[in-house]
Amino acid sequence: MPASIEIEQQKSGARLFCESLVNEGVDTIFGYPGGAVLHIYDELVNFKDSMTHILARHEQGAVHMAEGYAKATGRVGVALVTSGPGATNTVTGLANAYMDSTPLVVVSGQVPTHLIGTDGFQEIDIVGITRSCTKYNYLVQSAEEIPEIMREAFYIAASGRPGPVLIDIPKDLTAQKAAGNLPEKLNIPGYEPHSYSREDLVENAVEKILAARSPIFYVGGGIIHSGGTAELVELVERLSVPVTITLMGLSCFPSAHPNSLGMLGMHGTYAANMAISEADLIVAIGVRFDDRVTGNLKKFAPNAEIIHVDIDESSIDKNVKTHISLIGNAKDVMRQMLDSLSKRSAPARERLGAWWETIDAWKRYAPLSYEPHPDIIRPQFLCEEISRLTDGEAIISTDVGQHQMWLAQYYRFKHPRYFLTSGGLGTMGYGFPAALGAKIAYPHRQVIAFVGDGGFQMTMQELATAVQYRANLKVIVMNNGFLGMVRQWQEVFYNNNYSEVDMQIQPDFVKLAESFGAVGLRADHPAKLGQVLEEGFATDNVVVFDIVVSQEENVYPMVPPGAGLKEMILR
Amino acid sequence: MTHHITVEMVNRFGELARIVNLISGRGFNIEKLLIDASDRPDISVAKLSLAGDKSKVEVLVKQIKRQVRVTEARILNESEVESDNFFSAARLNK
Repeated sequence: MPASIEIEQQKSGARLFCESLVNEGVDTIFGYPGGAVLHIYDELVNFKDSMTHILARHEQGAVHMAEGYAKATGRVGVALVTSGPGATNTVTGLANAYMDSTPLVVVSGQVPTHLIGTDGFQEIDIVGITRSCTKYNYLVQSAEEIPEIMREAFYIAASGRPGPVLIDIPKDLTAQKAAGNLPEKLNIPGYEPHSYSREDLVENAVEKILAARSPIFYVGGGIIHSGGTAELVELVERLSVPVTITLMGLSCFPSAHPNSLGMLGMHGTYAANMAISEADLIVAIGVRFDDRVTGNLKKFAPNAEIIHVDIDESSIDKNVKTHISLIGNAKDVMRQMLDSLSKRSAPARERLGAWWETIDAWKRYAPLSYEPHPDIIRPQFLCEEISRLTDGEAIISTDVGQHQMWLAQYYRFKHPRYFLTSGGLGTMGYGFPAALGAKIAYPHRQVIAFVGDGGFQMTMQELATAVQYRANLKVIVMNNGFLGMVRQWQEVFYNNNYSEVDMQIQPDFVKLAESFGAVGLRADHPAKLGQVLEEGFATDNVVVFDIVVSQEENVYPMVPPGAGLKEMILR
Repeated sequence: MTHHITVEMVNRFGELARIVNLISGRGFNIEKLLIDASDRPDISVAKLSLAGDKSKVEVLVKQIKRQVRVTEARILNESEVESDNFFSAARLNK
C-alpha cells in the first residue's frame, strides 16, 4: 500500500478518542472544555448523534455527575476536563469514587508532550496527584495507544472492585495521526478479578451458618455493585436470618422486609448494633468493616465468628480477623451458597426462635424515634414525608452529615441503585450534582437531591446545568442554618463550644432558584410541608425546596467515637 | 521489626511510583530498595525493606498486590532473606 494512502487512513488522536467512547457504548459525557482538550472538543461535535456532552459549571460537578450517572445505571461514568486546574478540580470526585468503588473514566487534557516538565501554562502532574485516589491512571505517550488504553480503562473501572481510572492525554497527541489498531485481547498482567469462591470454603461457610444460634448478615455496597439483591433476599429468606445494612448498601435490601434491622454503626438502629454485638456468627458480604460501622474494634462482636465475602482480597483481615474468607463477587458467591443450600434439607425458622425473640425485644425497646413539634419541622419528619410521598420510587441522593444520617434512618428503600450517597470520603457538595447525573441518565424517573444548606452551597452553581438540560430534578435543602453534624459534635463532645458552624448568612434559596430559571418553594411549618413537597414534585421544572427545620436537632442513636457499638447514646 | 518484601510488576513507567506512593502514604520509611528486570522482559522485580508492625505490613502488602499491574507481592521469610544476595548483603553492610 502506498504510504500516502496509509496516512489517509490514519486518524487523529481526538478522533480515535471519540470513536473509543462510542465503542464502549458511552452515551453521555460530563465535561468542561479548555485549552488542552480543544482538539477533542472540536471532534466531539461530529459525534452528537451518538453521545451527549453535558456542560457542567465546575469540573468537580462534572465528576460528581458522572458518579451519579454510574451509581444509578451501573455503567461507567465519563468526565472530560482540561489540564491544570481542570484536572485538579477532579480530585475530590476521583477520591469520592475511589472510596465508594464507583466505576469512572476521567479524561484530562495535558500540555503538549514537549512542554511536560517545563512548568508550562496549565501544566500539572495530575497522574502523580491522583495515584492514591484512582484504581489506575495513565499518561498517554502516543496517539496510537489511545484505543487500547481506553478499552483497558473501561474494563479496569468496571471489573473486580469498581473504581475510577484517569487518562491524561497531552494536547499534541490528540492532533497526531495514527492507525490506532486495537489488539485482539487485552493483556493486563497481574489483573484477574475474582468471580466464584472456592467451593469447599463455601460449603464450610454454609455449614457454619446452619449451625449458628444467633447469626446475622451484615451487607453493603458489594451487593449493589454485583447486582445481587435477588440472591440476598432469597438467601436471607431461606435461612430466616436477620440482616443489617451499611450506608453504602442501604438500597440493596428492602427496608420494609421483616428480616431487616436497618443500618448499623455510629448512627445505626439499636437493634442492629445490639444484634451484631451479640451475634455468634457474622456473615459479612460486600462490606469492609469501616470504622463508622464497627466502632471500637476491641469491643466489636466479641463472641462472633466471621465469614467475609469480598471481591477485594485486601479488605479481608484489614480491620477484623475473619474465620472464613470467600474471595469473589458477592452475587456469584451468594449463588454458590444457595446451590449448597439446595442440596440440604431446608433449615427450620424455629432454630432461631430465641434469637428472633431477643431481636424483637431490642426493636421494641428502642425503635427510631423523635419528638414531633406542632409548629417546627423536625428533620426526621421531613425524611418520613419524602419517603411517604415518593413511596421509595425516587432515586435519592445526599451529601454527608446529619441530613444523610436521618435519611438513611427514616427513608424506606425499595430498589437497588436508588440511593446515591457519599459514604467513604464524606463529600459535602456531592449530593446535588450526583442527583443531576442520575436524572440525566433517567429523565423519566423522579430524582431528588436531599442536601444540607452547607453542602448545597458548595456545588449549587450546577443549577445552571440542570436548567440548561431541562434535567428537572428536585433539590430539597434541609435548612437548619448550621453545619449540623459538626455542631452536634461540638455540643456533645466539646461542651457546647460552637466554633465556626453558624451558616445563617446564606442566600435566599427560593430567589436563588428563580435567578437560575428554576422554581423555588419554601416550607417552614409541618402542616404545610406535605403540600409544598407534593406541589414541587409535580412541577415540570427544576425545583429547589428551602425546608426550614429545627436548628439544634441531634442524630440519635449515636455511638461516641472510641466506644463499642453497644455503648449507644439513645437520646 | 524490619520486613523484607518482593514485588513483581509490569516493567513500565509509573508502576514503581504507584507502589512507593502507597507505602509512603501510610507512613512507612523504605530502608532499602532495589529494582531490576526479571527473567521476563515485561516484568520487573522490586526488593524492599521497611520497618513496621507486622499486621500493618501484611495489610500493606495485600494493598500492593491489589494494584492493577502488580503480578506478585509478598513478605519473605527468614531463610529466603538469608539466601537473597541483596537482602543479605544489605544486612552485612549495616
